[in-house]
Formats: sequence, structure tokens, C-alpha cells
Amino acid sequence: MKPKKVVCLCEDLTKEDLEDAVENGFGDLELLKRFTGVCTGPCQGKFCLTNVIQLLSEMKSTRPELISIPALRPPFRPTRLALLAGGAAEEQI
Amino acid sequence: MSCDKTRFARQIYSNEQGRRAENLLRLGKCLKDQRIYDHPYLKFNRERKTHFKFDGNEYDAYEGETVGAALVAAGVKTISRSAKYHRPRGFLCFMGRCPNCMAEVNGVPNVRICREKVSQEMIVRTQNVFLNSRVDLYSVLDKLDFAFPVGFQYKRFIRPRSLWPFYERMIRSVAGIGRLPMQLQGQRAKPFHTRLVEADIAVVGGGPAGISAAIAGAEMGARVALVDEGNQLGGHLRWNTDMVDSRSEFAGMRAFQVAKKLADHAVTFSNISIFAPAIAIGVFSEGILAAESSDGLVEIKPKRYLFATGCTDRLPIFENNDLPGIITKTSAQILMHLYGIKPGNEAAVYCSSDEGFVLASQLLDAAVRVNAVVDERKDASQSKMLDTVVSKDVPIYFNSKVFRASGRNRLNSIETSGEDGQEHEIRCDVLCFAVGRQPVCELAQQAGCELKYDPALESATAIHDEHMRSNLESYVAGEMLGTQPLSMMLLEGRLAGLSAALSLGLGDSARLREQADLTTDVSRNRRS
Repeated sequence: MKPKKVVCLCEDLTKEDLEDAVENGFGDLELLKRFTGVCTGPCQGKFCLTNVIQLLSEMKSTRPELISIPALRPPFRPTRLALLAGGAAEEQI
Repeated sequence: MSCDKTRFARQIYSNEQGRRAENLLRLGKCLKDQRIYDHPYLKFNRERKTHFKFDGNEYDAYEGETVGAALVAAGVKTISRSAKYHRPRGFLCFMGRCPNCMAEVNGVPNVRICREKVSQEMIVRTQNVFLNSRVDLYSVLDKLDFAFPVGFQYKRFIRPRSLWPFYERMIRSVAGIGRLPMQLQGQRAKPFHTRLVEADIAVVGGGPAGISAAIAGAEMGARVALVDEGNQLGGHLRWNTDMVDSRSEFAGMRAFQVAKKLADHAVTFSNISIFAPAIAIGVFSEGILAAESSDGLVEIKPKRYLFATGCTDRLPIFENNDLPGIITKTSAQILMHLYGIKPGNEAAVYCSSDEGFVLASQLLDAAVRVNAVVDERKDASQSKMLDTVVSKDVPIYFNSKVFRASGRNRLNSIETSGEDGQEHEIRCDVLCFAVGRQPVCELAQQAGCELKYDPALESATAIHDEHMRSNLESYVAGEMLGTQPLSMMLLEGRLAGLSAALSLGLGDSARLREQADLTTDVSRNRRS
């Protein structure tokens, strides 16, 4: 195993990967998300969002408050498609 | 590839020898058993045994245990491989939130095995590996990482076009997430049940704040739908054995007892419909909150949302921080206190608050050796918990950070560095970290709540006014705002529930006065 500092477990992104991406101009969190895939894996940012915000603010030496928070999309957990295609709802209560 | 050792032994030896070999294997399994049989505060009911297969090997489990719990009990560390570099991964969060435990269960891909209950003859397989989770030939990609910089997927594999089908198959096998269940194709899958529930207030999260909010709403006559992912209500209190703080009405009780008490209280209200276990997966059009329950989808159409979704532990970043054996604090507590399983034999705790000391003493209660507590704080002499840990001869490293973890396929040791540059190597097979929290606010964000970075919490959370209202229809409360301790969570929950019900025109002037009192209480406590 090569030593790596993993930031995003879903997409196997290391701290160095993110630093490279920021150096290449993907310094905005929305851009970074689209380029590297951070916050888009099965965990939808549950384990990386805070770390990414702090890394970004360190790299760009800005306050973390100024970093925009990306939209996290449903479903928030891996869900079976069959469940969503379950048919018409039956009224209850 | 499958190697069922027991059956293999039976086949190659004559009956007598086969039986002996089988017995030896069984003895080996017993010696490796990580289950806790003697705990000072908890009793675990283990009645009927069952067994299942993971990557071709057979494992025992007790009924009610999840696949993940049974694997930890059998000493299995590596359960999957990461998506890109195929690095070994183990259980991390044990609550179905991290990506590490997705596996194929009876042909269905991407099942989170830390939550999936064991059933007889279940077949669990690691997905996207060449061989199995322990030996994965694709892991050579970890060494070839220079060939796959971030963003490479946009440039490579496009030309020549004719080779794309080949590339696609390759990529799907290496980096995809699971395979489609082929044997189910053509068959008509059993349709899931969809229920539509109308409610006044939908409370997401059945922890202390959520329950207290639901009760406040229900007392005022609102129809409340309470959604929680656990088998029972109680949230994080269920897997904590610590004494609750003395300011709450439950002073002198242990957290898991409070959980039971709160849950029992919630059940007595006929106008609270409880959906547990059900995982809220999103807020969709027409304001429908969808939740996945065991028998189908629950669609809740509420007038007000109330989010009390809590927190996850934050992943510390150091070299090899993804090694199997590095787990969250919550995960260690769930394993020890819900399933009665030791997360490892020699533990280290990495913390930045008193939670680390609490966890260390809980690990000691479960007869796990604690080799070190690594504390990021300069000094914790104020801490009440310090004595408990020191009296058990646990070395504490203050003002230190973990900077490297090492091991082959499983954690072997960690290295820490203090402020004076002193480095220590600590042997451990499990590292539990409690270095900060990250609020779970995806659902709140979807319901239109604005998220803002909170410097005190060092993370983003939903903004709210003094009545816990986040936007016109949504209220927030509890640990997702960084609130601690228990007494505050209960207060906030009650205030949020009350405010939500008041905004629906329920309640009288007495309730308004209560709201005003609670508001001053909450803001005073927050300042202190």
C-alpha cells in the first residue's frame, strides 16, 4: 500500500489530488466537485465536506465562512430503484 | 475462487479426519471470537445461531446481528476495496453512512452490510475485486497512481472510438459499483409497497432532540410522523453507556436508559406515527419527504419539517487514514454497546475533546486494552474524565497529532508527534477517532434551509432564528447544530416542536409563554 492521505473515501481522492486541482484553477468548491468528484460519491459528502471546506480555505488562505457549500443531491443513501418505482401510493392516516 | 474450508476439509479427508479438521477450524473460530460476554452495564441476548458466507468462507452469527457485526466478531478487518486504487477498506462508521461496507448480498449489489441483518444461508460477496477483499489483484493500481491523475477520465479512453466497448467493460469491472443482478432479469421483482402519510409535522431523526420535538408537537395535538434509521428510537443515546449530564431531568441515569425512557414516552402518544427503521432519502417535489423502510417506501407529506438529524464523526487526515481498523468513535460504541462486540484487542483513541476519555473508559469496560489516548488539546486537567483514564494506567499524549498509520491490509501501529517534535509509535489494531463532528444537513438543505459555516462547530450547518426556525416550513434542533449536552438537546427539541406546532395555529397562550421561556433558556445556555 502506498502511503496516501485520503480525503474522500468514495472517490479515493487524496489531499495531494485536491491541491493539484486547486493549483490548476479549480479553486471553487462547485468546480472542484465537478472536476474531482469530491462530495459526489455514495456518501454524498458525509465524510468529506467539512475537510474539503477547511483544506480549501487553507490553500486559498481565506476564511472558511466564505466558501460556498455545494448542493448535495438525493437519494442520500444508496436506494433500490425498485423502491422508487414501487407504484402508486396508498393513502394512510 | 470460493473456498469453503470446512467442506473442503470434509472432502479431502476421510470422515474421521474430516471431522477432526472441522473441529479444529471451529476451535480457531472460537479463539478469534470478539464478542463481549461480560460487561458491567449491559447484557446481550444471544440465542439462535445462524451462519452466512462472506467471500466463500462461512461465518457464524447470532440472530439479530448484522452481517457487519458478525464479521467484526470473527475478526475480519478488510471487507471491501476502494473505488479507484483498490486500497483495502474496513468498517468505518457502522451506521450506513460511509462508502466502505457496500457489498453484494444474495446477488443484490451495494447493500450496506453494517446494517443488513444476517439471514440463513446468506451469501455476501465483495464487489469490484479480482479474487476477494483480502487479495485483490487490482490493487496494483495503488502503485500505478501516477498514471491516473484526477480528471484523467475526461481525456483518456475516448479515442479510438471503436475500443470504447472494451474500455467500458474494463472500467465497469474495476471502478464500478457492483454488478446488476443478472438472475433477477426477466423476473418480475416483488413490487414494493408505497405508503403516503399526511402529517402536520415530519420529524427526521429520533434522537433526544427529535423525540422531544415530536412529543412537544403531539402534546399540542399535531399529527407527527417521526422517522429514524435505527431499529429503536433514541439516536446516539442508545449506544452510549456514559452518565448523562446532571442538568437534565434524567440526571443519574446512563444514556442508554434515557434512550429507552424517551422512546417509551414517545410510543404513548397516539398521534405520533413512528417509522423506524426508515432512512429518509430526500425531499422531493410537492414537499414529499421520502423514507426507505424495510417493507417499502414511505412518502410523508407534512406541513412543517423538523430536522434533528445529528452528526457524523469527522475523518482526520493523516497518512493511510483509510486503513482497516481506523474507525469512528460512534462505530466503536455501536459495536460494543449495541452488538456486544469488541472492535479490536488493542486500541488507541484519537480525540480533541472529553469524548475521547469517555470512549477510552468504555473500551476498558469492554475489556479492550487501551494503549494510548492521543489528545489534540494542550491540556485537559479540567476534565472530570481524566482521572478515570489515568487510574487505569492508560498513557495520554497531550497536544499531539496522529500523522501516520501503518500496517499491511490492517492497522498495526500509529505514529504521533507532539508539539516539541517528539514522535511516538503506538501499537494498536484499532484506532477510534473523535476529532470533531460534521452535521448531517443534506435533508435540511434540500428542504430549503440555508447552510452556513459555523466557526465554533468548524463545519457547515443550517441557520436558524431564536425559535429554531430555519425557513418558512422547516425547523432544526439538536446535535446537527453542534448542540451538547443532552439537557440542551432536549430543550432545543422541545422549543422546535413547540414553535412548529404554534406556527400551524395549534396551542394556546400558555404554550406561547412556554415558547418564550424556552427561547430565553436556550439562548442563555448557548452563550454559556
